[in-house]
Amino acid sequence: MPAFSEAEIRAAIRASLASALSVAESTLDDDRDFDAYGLPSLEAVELAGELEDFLGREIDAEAIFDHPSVAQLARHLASAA
Amino acid sequence: MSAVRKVGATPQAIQAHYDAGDAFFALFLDPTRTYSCALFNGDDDLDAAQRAKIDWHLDQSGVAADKRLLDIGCGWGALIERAVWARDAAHATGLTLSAAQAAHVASMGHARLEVRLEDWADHAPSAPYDAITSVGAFEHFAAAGLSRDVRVDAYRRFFTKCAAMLAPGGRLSIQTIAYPAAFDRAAYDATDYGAFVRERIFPESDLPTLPEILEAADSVFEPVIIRNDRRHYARTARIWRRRLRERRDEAVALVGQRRVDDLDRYFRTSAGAFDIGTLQLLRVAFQKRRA
Repeated sequence: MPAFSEAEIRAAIRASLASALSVAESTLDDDRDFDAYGLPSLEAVELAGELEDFLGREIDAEAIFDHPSVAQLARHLASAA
Repeated sequence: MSAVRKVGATPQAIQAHYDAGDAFFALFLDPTRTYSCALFNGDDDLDAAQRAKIDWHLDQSGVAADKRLLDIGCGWGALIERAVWARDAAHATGLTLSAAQAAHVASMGHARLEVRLEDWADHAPSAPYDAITSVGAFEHFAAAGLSRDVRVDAYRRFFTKCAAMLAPGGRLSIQTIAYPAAFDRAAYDATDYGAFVRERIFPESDLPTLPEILEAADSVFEPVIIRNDRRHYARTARIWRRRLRERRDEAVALVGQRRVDDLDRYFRTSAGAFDIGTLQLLRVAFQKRRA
Protein backbone atom coordinates (compact mmCIF):
# COMPACT_ATOMS: atom_id res chain seq x y z
CA MET A 1 0.00 0.00 0.00
CA PRO A 2 1.48 3.36 -0.97
CA ALA A 3 2.22 5.74 1.89
CA PHE A 4 1.53 9.42 1.27
CA SER A 5 3.03 12.41 3.04
CA GLU A 6 0.82 15.02 4.66
CA ALA A 7 1.76 17.43 1.85
CA GLU A 8 0.70 14.93 -0.83
CA ILE A 9 -2.59 14.29 0.95
CA ARG A 10 -3.14 18.02 1.33
CA ALA A 11 -2.62 18.49 -2.42
CA ALA A 12 -5.13 15.72 -3.16
CA ILE A 13 -7.72 17.27 -0.85
CA ARG A 14 -7.21 20.69 -2.45
CA ALA A 15 -7.69 19.24 -5.94
CA SER A 16 -10.90 17.42 -4.94
CA LEU A 17 -12.29 20.39 -3.03
CA ALA A 18 -11.58 22.82 -5.90
CA SER A 19 -13.30 20.44 -8.29
CA ALA A 20 -16.32 19.99 -5.97
CA LEU A 21 -16.68 23.75 -5.59
CA SER A 22 -15.82 24.53 -9.25
CA VAL A 23 -13.21 27.07 -8.19
CA ALA A 24 -9.47 27.46 -8.83
CA GLU A 25 -7.22 25.77 -6.26
CA SER A 26 -5.42 29.08 -5.74
CA THR A 27 -8.59 30.53 -4.14
CA LEU A 28 -8.69 27.88 -1.37
CA ASP A 29 -7.65 28.59 2.23
CA ASP A 30 -6.35 25.42 3.91
CA ASP A 31 -7.50 26.59 7.34
CA ARG A 32 -11.02 27.55 6.33
CA ASP A 33 -13.88 25.22 7.44
CA PHE A 34 -15.47 23.18 4.65
CA ASP A 35 -18.80 24.50 5.96
CA ALA A 36 -17.74 28.07 5.21
CA TYR A 37 -17.37 27.08 1.54
CA GLY A 38 -20.99 25.93 1.53
CA LEU A 39 -19.98 22.39 0.61
CA PRO A 40 -23.17 20.24 0.63
CA SER A 41 -22.85 17.08 2.74
CA LEU A 42 -23.13 14.72 -0.22
CA GLU A 43 -20.33 16.57 -2.01
CA ALA A 44 -18.25 16.20 1.15
CA VAL A 45 -19.00 12.48 1.00
CA GLU A 46 -17.86 12.32 -2.62
CA LEU A 47 -14.70 14.18 -1.63
CA ALA A 48 -14.06 11.57 1.08
CA GLY A 49 -14.60 8.89 -1.55
CA GLU A 50 -12.06 10.43 -3.89
CA LEU A 51 -9.54 10.53 -1.05
CA GLU A 52 -10.34 6.91 -0.30
CA ASP A 53 -9.38 5.96 -3.85
CA PHE A 54 -6.30 8.21 -3.80
CA LEU A 55 -5.02 6.70 -0.55
CA GLY A 56 -6.09 3.17 -1.42
CA ARG A 57 -7.78 2.62 1.93
CA GLU A 58 -11.26 3.13 3.33
CA ILE A 59 -12.10 6.38 5.10
CA ASP A 60 -14.99 7.00 7.47
CA ALA A 61 -16.79 9.96 5.89
CA GLU A 62 -17.35 11.41 9.37
CA ALA A 63 -13.68 12.46 9.22
CA ILE A 64 -14.84 15.36 7.04
CA PHE A 65 -16.86 16.71 9.97
CA ASP A 66 -14.38 15.80 12.69
CA HIS A 67 -11.49 17.43 10.80
CA PRO A 68 -13.30 20.12 8.81
CA SER A 69 -10.54 21.95 6.91
CA VAL A 70 -7.96 21.00 4.30
CA ALA A 71 -5.14 21.30 6.84
CA GLN A 72 -6.90 19.38 9.63
CA LEU A 73 -8.09 16.60 7.33
CA ALA A 74 -4.65 16.19 5.75
CA ARG A 75 -3.03 15.97 9.21
CA HIS A 76 -5.63 13.43 10.35
CA LEU A 77 -5.29 11.22 7.27
CA ALA A 78 -1.49 11.36 7.36
CA SER A 79 -1.38 10.37 11.02
CA ALA A 80 -4.01 7.63 10.69
CA ALA A 81 -2.10 5.92 7.86
CA MET B 1 -51.81 -2.65 -14.16
CA SER B 2 -52.96 -1.99 -10.62
CA ALA B 3 -53.63 1.47 -9.25
CA VAL B 4 -50.92 0.95 -6.67
CA ARG B 5 -48.26 0.09 -9.20
CA LYS B 6 -48.67 3.50 -10.83
CA VAL B 7 -47.17 5.25 -7.81
CA GLY B 8 -44.29 2.80 -7.36
CA ALA B 9 -41.53 1.69 -9.68
CA THR B 10 -42.72 -0.19 -12.78
CA PRO B 11 -41.62 -3.78 -13.53
CA GLN B 12 -39.49 -2.31 -16.32
CA ALA B 13 -37.61 -0.11 -13.84
CA ILE B 14 -37.15 -2.99 -11.39
CA GLN B 15 -35.92 -5.28 -14.14
CA ALA B 16 -33.48 -2.65 -15.40
CA HIS B 17 -31.82 -2.76 -12.00
CA TYR B 18 -32.07 -6.42 -11.02
CA ASP B 19 -32.09 -8.37 -14.31
CA ALA B 20 -28.47 -7.56 -15.16
CA GLY B 21 -27.87 -11.27 -14.79
CA ASP B 22 -27.17 -13.75 -12.05
CA ALA B 23 -23.52 -14.02 -13.07
CA PHE B 24 -22.94 -10.30 -12.61
CA PHE B 25 -24.42 -10.11 -9.11
CA ALA B 26 -22.62 -13.32 -8.13
CA LEU B 27 -19.32 -11.46 -8.70
CA PHE B 28 -19.76 -9.19 -5.69
CA LEU B 29 -22.67 -10.43 -3.55
CA ASP B 30 -22.45 -13.27 -1.02
CA PRO B 31 -23.30 -16.81 -2.27
CA THR B 32 -27.04 -16.32 -1.56
CA ARG B 33 -26.95 -13.12 -3.63
CA THR B 34 -28.60 -11.12 -0.87
CA TYR B 35 -28.67 -7.58 -2.27
CA SER B 36 -29.51 -5.60 0.87
CA CYS B 37 -27.80 -4.44 4.03
CA ALA B 38 -26.30 -7.20 6.19
CA LEU B 39 -26.30 -7.33 10.01
CA PHE B 40 -22.79 -7.59 11.42
CA ASN B 41 -21.90 -9.01 14.80
CA GLY B 42 -18.26 -8.29 15.69
CA ASP B 43 -15.90 -9.47 12.97
CA ASP B 44 -18.53 -11.31 10.94
CA ASP B 45 -17.73 -11.74 7.26
CA LEU B 46 -20.38 -10.83 4.69
CA ASP B 47 -21.79 -14.37 4.45
CA ALA B 48 -22.36 -14.61 8.21
CA ALA B 49 -23.75 -11.07 8.37
CA GLN B 50 -26.26 -11.75 5.59
CA ARG B 51 -27.42 -14.87 7.43
CA ALA B 52 -27.73 -12.84 10.64
CA LYS B 53 -29.83 -10.26 8.79
CA ILE B 54 -32.16 -12.94 7.45
CA ASP B 55 -32.40 -14.53 10.91
CA TRP B 56 -33.29 -11.17 12.47
CA HIS B 57 -36.25 -10.80 10.10
CA LEU B 58 -37.32 -14.43 10.59
CA ASP B 59 -37.20 -13.89 14.37
CA GLN B 60 -39.09 -10.60 14.27
CA SER B 61 -41.78 -11.87 11.93
CA GLY B 62 -42.23 -14.98 14.08
CA VAL B 63 -41.44 -17.58 11.42
CA ALA B 64 -41.51 -21.07 12.95
CA ALA B 65 -42.68 -24.60 12.23
CA ASP B 66 -46.20 -24.73 10.78
CA LYS B 67 -46.20 -20.99 10.01
CA ARG B 68 -46.92 -19.50 6.61
CA LEU B 69 -44.60 -16.76 5.38
CA LEU B 70 -44.86 -14.20 2.59
CA ASP B 71 -41.68 -12.38 1.49
CA ILE B 72 -42.37 -9.27 -0.61
CA GLY B 73 -39.40 -8.56 -2.88
CA CYS B 74 -37.77 -11.95 -2.38
CA GLY B 75 -34.68 -11.36 -4.51
CA TRP B 76 -32.87 -14.62 -5.16
CA GLY B 77 -34.88 -16.36 -2.43
CA ALA B 78 -32.34 -16.54 0.41
CA LEU B 79 -34.86 -15.57 3.10
CA ILE B 80 -37.68 -17.91 2.07
CA GLU B 81 -35.20 -20.74 1.54
CA ARG B 82 -33.84 -20.30 5.08
CA ALA B 83 -37.41 -20.05 6.48
CA VAL B 84 -38.18 -23.49 5.11
CA TRP B 85 -34.83 -25.18 5.77
CA ALA B 86 -33.76 -23.65 9.09
CA ARG B 87 -37.16 -22.79 10.63
CA ASP B 88 -39.27 -25.55 9.12
CA ALA B 89 -41.92 -23.09 7.95
CA ALA B 90 -45.01 -24.80 6.54
CA HIS B 91 -44.96 -22.67 3.41
CA ALA B 92 -43.01 -19.69 2.13
CA THR B 93 -44.11 -17.55 -0.80
CA GLY B 94 -41.80 -15.02 -2.44
CA LEU B 95 -42.93 -12.17 -4.67
CA THR B 96 -40.60 -10.45 -7.12
CA LEU B 97 -40.93 -8.25 -10.20
CA SER B 98 -37.66 -9.56 -11.63
CA ALA B 99 -37.98 -12.47 -14.08
CA ALA B 100 -34.35 -13.52 -13.53
CA GLN B 101 -34.89 -13.75 -9.77
CA ALA B 102 -38.18 -15.64 -10.15
CA ALA B 103 -36.57 -18.20 -12.46
CA HIS B 104 -33.74 -18.74 -10.00
CA VAL B 105 -36.05 -19.32 -7.02
CA ALA B 106 -38.32 -21.61 -9.07
CA SER B 107 -35.27 -23.72 -9.93
CA MET B 108 -34.77 -24.54 -6.24
CA GLY B 109 -37.77 -26.84 -6.68
CA HIS B 110 -38.71 -27.18 -3.00
CA ALA B 111 -42.32 -28.28 -2.35
CA ARG B 112 -42.89 -25.72 0.40
CA LEU B 113 -41.32 -22.83 -1.56
CA GLU B 114 -43.30 -20.81 -4.05
CA VAL B 115 -42.19 -17.82 -6.11
CA ARG B 116 -44.51 -15.53 -8.02
CA LEU B 117 -43.66 -12.87 -10.62
CA GLU B 118 -46.26 -10.56 -9.15
CA ASP B 119 -46.83 -7.15 -7.61
CA TRP B 120 -47.81 -7.30 -3.92
CA ALA B 121 -50.94 -5.29 -4.72
CA ASP B 122 -52.15 -8.07 -7.03
CA HIS B 123 -51.33 -10.97 -4.72
CA ALA B 124 -54.37 -13.02 -3.64
CA PRO B 125 -53.26 -15.60 -1.05
CA SER B 126 -55.16 -18.89 -0.76
CA ALA B 127 -54.97 -18.65 3.06
CA PRO B 128 -53.83 -15.95 5.53
CA TYR B 129 -50.13 -15.64 6.34
CA ASP B 130 -48.69 -15.71 9.85
CA ALA B 131 -45.66 -13.64 8.92
CA ILE B 132 -44.66 -11.16 6.23
CA THR B 133 -41.15 -9.91 5.52
CA SER B 134 -40.04 -7.28 3.04
CA VAL B 135 -36.34 -6.53 2.82
CA GLY B 136 -35.07 -3.89 0.41
CA ALA B 137 -38.33 -3.51 -1.53
CA PHE B 138 -39.92 -0.54 0.26
CA GLU B 139 -37.42 1.69 -1.58
CA HIS B 140 -39.45 1.06 -4.74
CA PHE B 141 -42.97 1.62 -3.39
CA ALA B 142 -43.10 5.33 -4.22
CA ALA B 143 -41.92 6.92 -7.46
CA ALA B 144 -39.65 9.95 -7.47
CA GLY B 145 -41.21 13.40 -7.45
CA LEU B 146 -44.36 12.63 -5.47
CA SER B 147 -45.64 14.86 -2.68
CA ARG B 148 -45.32 13.61 0.91
CA ASP B 149 -49.09 12.94 1.07
CA VAL B 150 -49.09 10.84 -2.09
CA ARG B 151 -46.03 8.93 -0.89
CA VAL B 152 -47.61 8.20 2.51
CA ASP B 153 -50.80 7.06 0.75
CA ALA B 154 -48.76 4.59 -1.30
CA TYR B 155 -47.10 3.26 1.87
CA ARG B 156 -50.47 3.10 3.64
CA ARG B 157 -51.87 0.92 0.85
CA PHE B 158 -48.90 -1.41 1.35
CA PHE B 159 -49.47 -1.73 5.09
CA THR B 160 -53.23 -2.11 4.67
CA LYS B 161 -52.71 -4.88 2.14
CA CYS B 162 -50.22 -6.63 4.43
CA ALA B 163 -52.62 -6.44 7.37
CA ALA B 164 -55.39 -7.91 5.21
CA MET B 165 -53.17 -10.86 4.27
CA LEU B 166 -52.09 -11.58 7.88
CA ALA B 167 -53.85 -13.78 10.42
CA PRO B 168 -54.77 -12.11 13.75
CA GLY B 169 -51.60 -11.35 15.73
CA GLY B 170 -49.50 -11.67 12.59
CA ARG B 171 -46.18 -9.89 12.30
CA LEU B 172 -44.46 -7.90 9.60
CA SER B 173 -40.74 -7.15 9.43
CA ILE B 174 -39.41 -4.63 6.92
CA GLN B 175 -36.02 -3.23 5.99
CA THR B 176 -35.48 -0.12 3.90
CA ILE B 177 -33.06 2.68 3.17
CA ALA B 178 -34.52 5.98 4.37
CA TYR B 179 -33.81 9.68 4.53
CA PRO B 180 -33.71 11.59 7.81
CA ALA B 181 -37.08 13.22 8.51
CA ALA B 182 -35.72 16.73 7.89
CA PHE B 183 -34.03 15.74 4.62
CA ASP B 184 -34.29 18.35 1.85
CA ARG B 185 -35.31 16.30 -1.20
CA ALA B 186 -35.37 19.26 -3.57
CA ALA B 187 -31.80 20.24 -2.67
CA TYR B 188 -30.67 16.63 -3.02
CA ASP B 189 -32.36 16.22 -6.39
CA ALA B 190 -30.49 19.30 -7.59
CA THR B 191 -27.06 17.76 -6.83
CA ASP B 192 -25.09 15.79 -9.42
CA TYR B 193 -25.24 12.75 -7.20
CA GLY B 194 -29.02 13.01 -6.69
CA ALA B 195 -29.57 13.13 -10.45
CA PHE B 196 -27.12 10.26 -10.95
CA VAL B 197 -28.96 7.95 -8.51
CA ARG B 198 -32.37 8.90 -9.91
CA GLU B 199 -31.37 8.40 -13.54
CA ARG B 200 -28.77 5.64 -13.45
CA ILE B 201 -29.19 3.56 -10.28
CA PHE B 202 -32.79 3.52 -9.08
CA PRO B 203 -35.06 4.95 -11.80
CA GLU B 204 -38.59 5.77 -10.69
CA SER B 205 -37.91 5.23 -6.99
CA ASP B 206 -37.80 7.47 -3.93
CA LEU B 207 -37.02 6.81 -0.28
CA PRO B 208 -39.28 7.07 2.77
CA THR B 209 -38.57 8.66 6.15
CA LEU B 210 -39.24 6.90 9.46
CA PRO B 211 -42.16 9.24 10.37
CA GLU B 212 -43.76 8.53 6.97
CA ILE B 213 -43.46 4.79 7.55
CA LEU B 214 -44.92 4.94 11.06
CA GLU B 215 -47.72 7.27 9.99
CA ALA B 216 -48.63 5.02 7.06
CA ALA B 217 -48.63 1.88 9.22
CA ASP B 218 -50.42 3.32 12.23
CA SER B 219 -54.02 2.40 11.43
CA VAL B 220 -53.22 -1.31 11.03
CA PHE B 221 -49.84 -2.02 12.67
CA GLU B 222 -48.00 -1.07 15.84
CA PRO B 223 -44.20 -0.89 15.77
CA VAL B 224 -42.43 -3.38 18.05
CA ILE B 225 -38.77 -2.71 17.28
CA ILE B 226 -37.11 0.06 15.27
CA ARG B 227 -33.40 -0.04 14.40
CA ASN B 228 -31.30 2.34 12.37
CA ASP B 229 -28.34 0.22 11.26
CA ARG B 230 -26.81 2.73 8.85
CA ARG B 231 -23.24 1.79 9.81
CA HIS B 232 -24.00 -1.78 8.78
CA TYR B 233 -24.89 -0.59 5.30
CA ALA B 234 -21.70 1.47 5.01
CA ARG B 235 -19.80 -1.72 5.83
CA THR B 236 -21.87 -3.84 3.42
CA ALA B 237 -21.49 -1.37 0.53
CA ARG B 238 -17.72 -1.17 1.04
CA ILE B 239 -17.41 -4.95 0.89
CA TRP B 240 -19.50 -5.09 -2.31
CA ARG B 241 -17.37 -2.33 -3.82
CA ARG B 242 -14.11 -4.04 -2.91
CA ARG B 243 -15.33 -7.29 -4.47
CA LEU B 244 -16.63 -5.58 -7.58
CA ARG B 245 -13.23 -3.91 -8.07
CA GLU B 246 -11.44 -7.23 -7.61
CA ARG B 247 -13.61 -8.76 -10.35
CA ARG B 248 -13.77 -5.64 -12.51
CA ASP B 249 -12.69 -7.20 -15.81
CA GLU B 250 -15.31 -9.94 -15.56
CA ALA B 251 -17.95 -7.41 -14.52
CA VAL B 252 -17.19 -5.15 -17.50
CA ALA B 253 -17.39 -8.15 -19.84
CA LEU B 254 -20.83 -9.01 -18.45
CA VAL B 255 -22.57 -5.63 -18.22
CA GLY B 256 -20.25 -3.03 -19.74
CA GLN B 257 -17.94 -0.44 -18.25
CA ARG B 258 -20.62 2.21 -17.70
CA ARG B 259 -22.77 -0.01 -15.49
CA VAL B 260 -19.74 -1.11 -13.47
CA ASP B 261 -18.55 2.49 -13.02
CA ASP B 262 -22.06 3.55 -11.99
CA LEU B 263 -22.29 0.89 -9.30
CA ASP B 264 -18.75 1.68 -8.12
CA ARG B 265 -19.70 5.32 -7.59
CA TYR B 266 -23.03 4.38 -6.01
CA PHE B 267 -21.42 2.03 -3.49
CA ARG B 268 -18.64 4.49 -2.66
CA THR B 269 -20.86 7.51 -2.09
CA SER B 270 -23.72 5.69 -0.41
CA ALA B 271 -21.23 4.16 2.06
CA GLY B 272 -20.13 7.70 2.97
CA ALA B 273 -23.73 8.90 3.16
CA PHE B 274 -24.48 6.06 5.61
CA ASP B 275 -21.34 7.04 7.57
CA ILE B 276 -22.62 10.55 8.19
CA GLY B 277 -26.35 9.78 8.48
CA THR B 278 -27.55 11.36 5.23
CA LEU B 279 -28.93 7.88 4.61
CA GLN B 280 -30.43 5.59 7.25
CA LEU B 281 -30.98 1.84 7.18
CA LEU B 282 -34.19 1.05 8.99
CA ARG B 283 -35.28 -2.36 10.21
CA VAL B 284 -38.77 -2.14 11.66
CA ALA B 285 -40.81 -4.98 13.13
CA PHE B 286 -44.58 -4.54 13.40
CA GLN B 287 -47.43 -6.45 14.94
CA LYS B 288 -50.89 -6.35 13.42
CA ARG B 289 -53.15 -4.23 15.58
CA ARG B 290 -56.15 -5.88 17.20
CA ALA B 291 -58.10 -2.65 17.39
